[in-house]
Amino acid sequence: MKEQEQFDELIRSKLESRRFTPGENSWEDAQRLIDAQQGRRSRRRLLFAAALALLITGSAAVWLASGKNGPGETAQQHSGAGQNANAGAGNENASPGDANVSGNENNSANENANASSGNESAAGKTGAGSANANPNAGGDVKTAGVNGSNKAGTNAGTNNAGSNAQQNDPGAAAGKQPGNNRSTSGKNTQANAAQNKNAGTAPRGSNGKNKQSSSGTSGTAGQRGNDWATGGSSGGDPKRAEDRAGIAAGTHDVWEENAGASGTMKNTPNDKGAGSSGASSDSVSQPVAAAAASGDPSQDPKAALAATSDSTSASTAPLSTTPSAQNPLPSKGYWFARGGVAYMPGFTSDNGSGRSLNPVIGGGYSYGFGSRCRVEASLQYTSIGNASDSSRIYTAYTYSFGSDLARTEIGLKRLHYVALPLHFRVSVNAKNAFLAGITPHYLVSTESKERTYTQRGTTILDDKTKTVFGYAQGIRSFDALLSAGYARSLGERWDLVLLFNYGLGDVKFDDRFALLKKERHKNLQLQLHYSF
Amino acid sequence: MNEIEDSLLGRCRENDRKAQYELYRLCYSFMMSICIRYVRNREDAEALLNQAFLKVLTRLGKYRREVPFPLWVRRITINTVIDEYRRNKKEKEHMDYVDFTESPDEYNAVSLNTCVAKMDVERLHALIEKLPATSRRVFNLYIVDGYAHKEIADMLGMSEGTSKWHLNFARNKLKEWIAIDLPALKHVAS
Repeated sequence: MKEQEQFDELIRSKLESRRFTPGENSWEDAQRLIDAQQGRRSRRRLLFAAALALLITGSAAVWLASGKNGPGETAQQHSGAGQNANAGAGNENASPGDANVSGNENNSANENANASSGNESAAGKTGAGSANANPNAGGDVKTAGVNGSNKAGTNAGTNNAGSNAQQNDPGAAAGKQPGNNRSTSGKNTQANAAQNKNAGTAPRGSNGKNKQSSSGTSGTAGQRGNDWATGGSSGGDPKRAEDRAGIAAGTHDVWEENAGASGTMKNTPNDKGAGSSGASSDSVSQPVAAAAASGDPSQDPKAALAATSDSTSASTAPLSTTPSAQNPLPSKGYWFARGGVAYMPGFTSDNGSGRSLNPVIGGGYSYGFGSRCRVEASLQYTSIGNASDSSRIYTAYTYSFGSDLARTEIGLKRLHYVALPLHFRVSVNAKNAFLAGITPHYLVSTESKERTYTQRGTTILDDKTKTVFGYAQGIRSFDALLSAGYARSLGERWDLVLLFNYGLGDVKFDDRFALLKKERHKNLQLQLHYSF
Repeated sequence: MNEIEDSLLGRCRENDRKAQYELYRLCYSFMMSICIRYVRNREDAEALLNQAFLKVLTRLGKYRREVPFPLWVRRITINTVIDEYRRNKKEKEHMDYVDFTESPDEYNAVSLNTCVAKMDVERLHALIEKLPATSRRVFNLYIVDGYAHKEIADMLGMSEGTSKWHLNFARNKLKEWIAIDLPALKHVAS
């Protein structure tokens, strides 16, 4: 055993004592490798920067789009649906009605007009403005008429708290309004989504007019306010009140009762649509509203404060004027199918290997969060055609009897992949969206052309060619591509998606093919996307 | 190799090409003596060496002074060699696994060792190169690089028993071939 250890030790020391000096080209080769590595790093940095830039640009686009569309969009986002905005309006109308305990129907009408804009915050502003501007309990029919005849769109898009306050004859709004408005605006967006189904169909223009026929939701909501006001306690015009009550129809009975009973707004769960959220909000704001019931906001600092705060909040609370308000957002999760073509420009720029048009087909699931963001995961098939070049031909030689040379040449034709794209999608608006993500690829199989022949001297014998699968030596099984793209909606269910993918790794092993070229899988895909 | 200064490593980290060349020059012999044992020709060994050196450069930031630099470089080089082996693992070599016990000590071990000590290193290397690839790898990893059979088995994807078999096979084959050279070596020794 000792001899064996000595034998091992001798061999070790002998082998380690060998000395080598670098050859002439050794450092040049090493430098090339170092340069290639640095190039890869800078490309990665570039890609990372591009992805980051895309993300930032996308976010900025979303933010800008939100800002441009005014407050309505935000309101819509907050409520989660376009319908809710109108529903909120109904609530607003209810609140002002409460404020109109003093008997100002006009103000109610005004509120309706604002409310019809689909923005509860706007109503809040109106209330606030009214309270500040005119403590007079008397109604101003003209003002109401003006506001009432305003198109909702106008109100939604342009009115702000200040302008509403001026247009209204706000004295009627009284001190209660701010409190109610505030609370209403605080609650509507959340509460109405479930309850007010009709809201989305309410035409904004007609809402503003408070016509019975114009829209079930907004118009009714407007009446509600009047009903409430009338039924409340103080006075207004009974005829009007009745009329309005008639318009308001069954759903507002409860409101009237509540109003009559307590003089403050208390909804019951029976209230439909706007009423329900108004109820909860009012319960929150009752103290303020009650304090302001005197109709003189100047006597109620809280009311004034509430009004002010409402105005402030109103300025940030948006009106629903975007196209997306008309198009309901897609459901939270849905399945989809996609198909299209991928143009692969080639592995490298200096040869045509890999340059091809390839199919892309698959399907997946899309899950939405927030109002604009979705995550899409899918499973799809794709391939790289024209994959052959001289570096990918395997040749086997068999000599028999020293004269015949049997050769087998295997040239790659196509690489078949299964891909699992995971994309993050941000909608800029109802039509346009940006995508970014990663697409891992797994090499399922390769398709090769196998040519066998026998060479005898200069003669070729038994030349046969067939397609074979599975010669994947030297090709990486896994690859991942960074993806970025743009999607445009072509209708309710169809999307057109333009996607650019760039591989993070080489398609093949350099060492096997003795090449240091970076052969990346990259393509430009045009896909049609169908949502189920 | 042992006296590589921190400042040199620091400049290499900062991508100073001259410093990188200096480090390459200092490490070359050491790294080549490892790589050449695992491949059949110098060109392949140099390609491996360059890959390993690239890894050394890219991981310099993670290098800690507590570990001797040559040891760290050796580890990286051997890992590169093993990675290369794993990549090309599909090219299985066909070996006839013979069931042999410890080979009969036909020749005097003492005189054999004496001859090995006097043997030209190139000749010894040539004999080792004649070994089948897997046996050579196991022999190198165990005898020269000091890995245990368990580690070798993990690295090469085989059982410990297989690793031991390869080591014995390589040892016996070497002894057998050295024994053939023995008369000549004895002559040289005398």
